[in-house]
Amino acid sequence: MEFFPDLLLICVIGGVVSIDIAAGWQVMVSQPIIACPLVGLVLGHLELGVIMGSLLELPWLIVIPTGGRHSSEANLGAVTATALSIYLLADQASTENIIIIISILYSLFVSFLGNHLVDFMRRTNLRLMYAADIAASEANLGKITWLNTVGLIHAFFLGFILVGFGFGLGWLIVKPLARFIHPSFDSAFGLARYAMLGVGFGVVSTMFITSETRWYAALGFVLSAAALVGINVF
Amino acid sequence: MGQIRKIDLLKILLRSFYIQSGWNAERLLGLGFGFCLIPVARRLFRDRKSISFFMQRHLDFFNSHPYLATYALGAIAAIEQQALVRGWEDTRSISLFKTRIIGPLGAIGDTLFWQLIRPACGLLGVVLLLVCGWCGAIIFFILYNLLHFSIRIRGVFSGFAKGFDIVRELSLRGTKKYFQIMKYLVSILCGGGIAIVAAKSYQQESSLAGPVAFAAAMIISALVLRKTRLSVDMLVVIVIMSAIIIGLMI
Repeated sequence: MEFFPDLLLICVIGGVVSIDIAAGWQVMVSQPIIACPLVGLVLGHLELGVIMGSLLELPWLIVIPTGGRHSSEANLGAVTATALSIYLLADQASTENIIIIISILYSLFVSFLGNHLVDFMRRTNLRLMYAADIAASEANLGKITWLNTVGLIHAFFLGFILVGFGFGLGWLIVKPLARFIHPSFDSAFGLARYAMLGVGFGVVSTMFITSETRWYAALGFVLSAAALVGINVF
Repeated sequence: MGQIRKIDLLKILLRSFYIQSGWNAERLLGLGFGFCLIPVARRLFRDRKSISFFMQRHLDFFNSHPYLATYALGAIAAIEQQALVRGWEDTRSISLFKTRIIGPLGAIGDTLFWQLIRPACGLLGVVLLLVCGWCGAIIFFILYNLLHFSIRIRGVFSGFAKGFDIVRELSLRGTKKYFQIMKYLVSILCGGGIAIVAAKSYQQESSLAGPVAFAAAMIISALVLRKTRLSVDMLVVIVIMSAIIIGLMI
């Protein structure tokens, strides 16, 4: 693994994710289920990317981006956490469970920063809007196209800079913290991994399992359990 | 005077992927909406004054779910063409139409995609990730975007074909039974996913600690989210720290 080429790749992925969150496409490459394995593939540890994607995908699905509302930039946090955990594991900073959990907790800080950067970006976009008004009065269609593209560029650089900064700062802060935690605590952090999955399923349960649908959920549980028992037996 | 062609609708469709690029708090999708309609301006108008009035009309406030905005874009293209052909002097009906369509586009899009399709595909993808690795991500991507692209493409052509009448087609009333069926199916998937995760965690830990941690976190999270206004970020921190502390105590 070479640090600076990898850092550039991670930042580009961050930029692409930032665009896909809202500014363009929205084909869901920004979702952790895609973005984390992608980071894993690029950095040579697809398996860890898949683990991070499965842990980080579900919890933030309950946050719905309606109107002007936006949440913490959890998707950019997920990219940072995955890249950081792969590098920490390669550096043998600690055990896998400890690295994963600390990276996830650190990603919340990166997401929080991202939230404020998005507010700043939206204020900047207002200037694009006013410039577009002038362009419209002049019937300058090319300029309106360019102004819309500038919004896209803003989004790319927001992700590029946030992920790069987050990864660099994480390397300075999280690495010594990971080394500080004794490896014998690995099993406790392993439980936290299952708890994180539990949060995700708790979120989805809140969204779908109601008094009307609970028996369908129970049916799904029973069918799945029966299938698993059947597979084990035969 | 030009007639809008299929190629113009395709250009609108491609531009619709960038409708949120200039999102701002004052006019929301206003900049993107005007940007998407540039092919219409180029096709229908020749003089700068007409183009200027057209763009000023459509850089105004607009909000919508990004995927369903193509319904409005297609409809506006048809209405503007109609206005030009019939020589309408007053374009207020176009602005009123835009105001009227904002509600349904937002409500249907948010309910269908953000509350149903995205979490359903996400849940399926996560379960498949756990069971068969990275192919879960690919299945999520393909399944989600089949639905996504079909709505976008249908929107622009259907909107153009129906013009003003598209508002009648966009109603939550007609979709409620499909949403309900989807909720039942996703509930079954949720129950199935819980069993799979519990079994996998038992297999990996060779003890009940994993499944118990998973189940406890799931139940506590569901209760907290239903009863309180705690953010997901804080919930994650609390659950993780609690799991670590309990794990250290055991």
